Amino acid sequence: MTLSRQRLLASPRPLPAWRARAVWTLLGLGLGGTMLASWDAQVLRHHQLRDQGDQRYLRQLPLPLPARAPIVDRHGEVLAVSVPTTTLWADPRFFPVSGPEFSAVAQALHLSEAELRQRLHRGGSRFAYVARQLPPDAAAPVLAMKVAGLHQLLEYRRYYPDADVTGPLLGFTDLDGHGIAGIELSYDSWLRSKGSTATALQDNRGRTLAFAGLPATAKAGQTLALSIDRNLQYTAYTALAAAVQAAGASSGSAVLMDLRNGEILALVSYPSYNPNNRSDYVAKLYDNRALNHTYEPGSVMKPFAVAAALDAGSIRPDSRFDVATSCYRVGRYCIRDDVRHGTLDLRQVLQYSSNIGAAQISLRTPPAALYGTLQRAGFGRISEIGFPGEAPGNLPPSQNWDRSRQAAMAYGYGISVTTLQLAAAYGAIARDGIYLRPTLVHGGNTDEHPGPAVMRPQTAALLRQWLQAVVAPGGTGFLAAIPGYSVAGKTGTSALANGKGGFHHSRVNTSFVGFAPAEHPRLVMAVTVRDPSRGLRYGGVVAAPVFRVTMGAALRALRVPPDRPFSDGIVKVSSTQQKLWAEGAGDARH
Amino acid sequence: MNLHSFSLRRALGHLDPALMTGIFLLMGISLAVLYSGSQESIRVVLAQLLRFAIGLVVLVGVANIPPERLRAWAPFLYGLGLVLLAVTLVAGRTYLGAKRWLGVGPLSFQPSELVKLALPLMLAYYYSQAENVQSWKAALSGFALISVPFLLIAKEPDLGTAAQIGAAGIFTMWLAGVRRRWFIGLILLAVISGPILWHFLHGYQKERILTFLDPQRDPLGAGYHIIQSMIAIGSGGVFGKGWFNGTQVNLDFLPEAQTDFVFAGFAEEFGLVGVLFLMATYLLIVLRGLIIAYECRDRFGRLIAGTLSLTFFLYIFINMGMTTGILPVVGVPLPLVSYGGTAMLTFLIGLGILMSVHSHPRFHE
Repeated sequence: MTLSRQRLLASPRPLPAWRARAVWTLLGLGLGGTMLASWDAQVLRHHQLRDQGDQRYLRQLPLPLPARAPIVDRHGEVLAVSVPTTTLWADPRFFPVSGPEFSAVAQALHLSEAELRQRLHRGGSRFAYVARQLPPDAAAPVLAMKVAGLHQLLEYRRYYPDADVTGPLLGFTDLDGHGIAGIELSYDSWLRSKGSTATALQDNRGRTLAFAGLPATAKAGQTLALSIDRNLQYTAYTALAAAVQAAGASSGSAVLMDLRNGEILALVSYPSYNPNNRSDYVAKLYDNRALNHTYEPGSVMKPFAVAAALDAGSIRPDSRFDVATSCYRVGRYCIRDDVRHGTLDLRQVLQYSSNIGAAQISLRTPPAALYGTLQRAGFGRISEIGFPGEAPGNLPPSQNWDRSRQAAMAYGYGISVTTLQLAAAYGAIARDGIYLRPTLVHGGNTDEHPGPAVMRPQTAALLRQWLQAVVAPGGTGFLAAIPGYSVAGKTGTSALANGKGGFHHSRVNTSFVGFAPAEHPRLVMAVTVRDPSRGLRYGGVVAAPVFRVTMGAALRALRVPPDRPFSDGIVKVSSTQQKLWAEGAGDARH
Repeated sequence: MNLHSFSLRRALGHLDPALMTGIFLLMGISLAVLYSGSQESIRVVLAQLLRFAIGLVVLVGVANIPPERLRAWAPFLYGLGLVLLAVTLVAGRTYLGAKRWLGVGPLSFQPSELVKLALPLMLAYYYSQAENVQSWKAALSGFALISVPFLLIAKEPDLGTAAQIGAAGIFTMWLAGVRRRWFIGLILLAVISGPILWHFLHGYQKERILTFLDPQRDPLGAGYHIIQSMIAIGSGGVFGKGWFNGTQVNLDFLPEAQTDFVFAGFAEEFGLVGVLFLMATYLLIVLRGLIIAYECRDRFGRLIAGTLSLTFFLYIFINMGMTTGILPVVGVPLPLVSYGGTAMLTFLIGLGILMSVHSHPRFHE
């Protein structure tokens, strides 16, 4: 046995007890520390830490939102529809902010690199829009690059096939598909799809692994069928646009209503905008001039003064009025007619639109009677048609009327109205005095309650008869005549208020309101053209043709049987004669 | 040993039943956790299984090497380790800013793994033949043997591993009987030089220590690992979420869930009960190792067995400590459970040495 072997076998010194104790202490400390840490985390802080963990993987995920529902016309033709688009977004944690991929993305999107970088900065730490609402074709090549952190999102873009024809009526939505103007705004909750969320199990990279429980289903919006007839809307719009342009006017509006149910078949406003291209519109075009704007209507109000007087018994159907003066003085004011007449009966007061005659009628009548008639006809309050910012107009209470105001009310000054109110009020004349609430929704007037009686049926019948004279040869509204149909209506030409308590001498609002066929009315229409600057600036010349074109098309479209020989409506007159008729001169001096 | 005398039965006879029980339990835990954490990937399990198989073959081989031969190799292994460390510093592969790997073709390995065994062997060799371990010469020689590899590894930089081999060396010196005053002096030196050394630390090293002190100071950056790990462990509760049900692990929230932070994933799925079982298994191995050291009648065998047992415990403690937030994060795998080959091989060789010490009767009473 070797020495080394001996040394190996020699029993080593035993480890001193204190050294062993130190070793055991070290072991005990290590073991105890680890156990304490486990105990602390798994028992003492278990709930807190588990909740933190749950927060990390349980996410409320928005479910894919169904498209906003379409808006259709009364025949189901599409007026507004949401089309799927691709929105590109980036997770800035993974998306490269420079380098060849970044440049390629910018180039494919036709963006400068600075612009793209700015868009990324605008987003949050995990989400930034790169490009919104691209046509799927345009997004596909970018997605095909498979850039890290670049994702797609389904978004919808609202599309309006009729563009400016329906623009101010339908309004529009914002980029997120929320209605912010017009019908889109007032029926937003009806059209909009309700999103919902599902509790999802997600991993650290945001991949959804499973859904916890039953996901709530997203609620799709409902299709809105408007009372609008797309074709008549188009006819009315083009006729109005032509009239506004031909007369060099600033704006115009028109409302066509079905007298059977109050459904609005056409409601147009000009100038308009194209809601499909939001870059070219200006704020003042948002307004719907048939609903949001009011004006002093002028002579179109005369039938209501006549109705109030007849119903109050202050005049009789055969009353005659001496208007042979150039200045009919009421208080400080001088009331004039464009043309001096002699003595006029009620039919002639309307046909030649005599302000003096109307003033005399009104002054014989208690103010409260005229106020009541106007109020029942819907003036001074909104029709509740369901349009954002519908203007109520202004109908001052009769207690505040002085004699000049009482006289002026008869020929449409001192009161402001909307084009829609005029159409609805004339609807009452057409319907034996019963007011019919207008509606923009197909099948919208379901309640059987008849509207208030604005005037007695006999009075309405007399007005229908007399108002035909306005459209007949010699009347101020002769240009509203429609071949084959009897037409009743009234012209209006009112001076524009100058905003200083007075009026512009040469700036006017022209209007025409009427219905057809006159004896058994089916449709009523009001047309307003503001501030014409060319040619004859009379309601009968500027606004009446819009009525004739649209109403004629509508009567034929609705297959309303003609009630007159077609030759009746065709009158050939000289331009001199036209001017005389339009200003109320009639065929002869009285 | 020649081929004629080779007998499988005799070769396996060197294995220690208690240690083998512990090893197989840990391997079973490892496969279970990896299977769940890898989204039930059979590929991951098979890869780990292959490593276990290779490791076990090596372990059997090492257990059959007589301790005196290991003792004789110790200076050469130590020298080889130093040379490789030096080469690594010059020509090593840089990965994540640190030169820790030595590569030949597709193969790469960390020389520090070799040193983890070579240094304790060298110290055990030195103190087993030293005339007077209480002399200052014995103490200084020990410190010198430790500090050369320590500094080389710290230079890589890999301060965590340097500290670990340093600690292993200190264990040997303690067990060898180096005088107490040296250890007290070492502790004093560490306390005094701590603030000075702080300035020599790399930014990420400072960051790790600051994060350890307050993980919430940078929850998405340096504190991310430890916060996710704490949540995983804590949400396991007493009984755990169940196998495959760990959300932190399976949903990718827990980083390094199969390597350094495998303990957190295990704790999430198996709870405090599982942790206690894992601890008990580790304790079985460590205590068995210490018993082997105690029973050994040979100085070298006793020193190496004691050192390896304590070092094994040290790794367990560091790994569990960093996962539970009581120690700073250093890259230490959980012995025999974490996915990966090199470190596991080192542990199995170490355990093989323990078995060799125990099973060679000349070294045993």
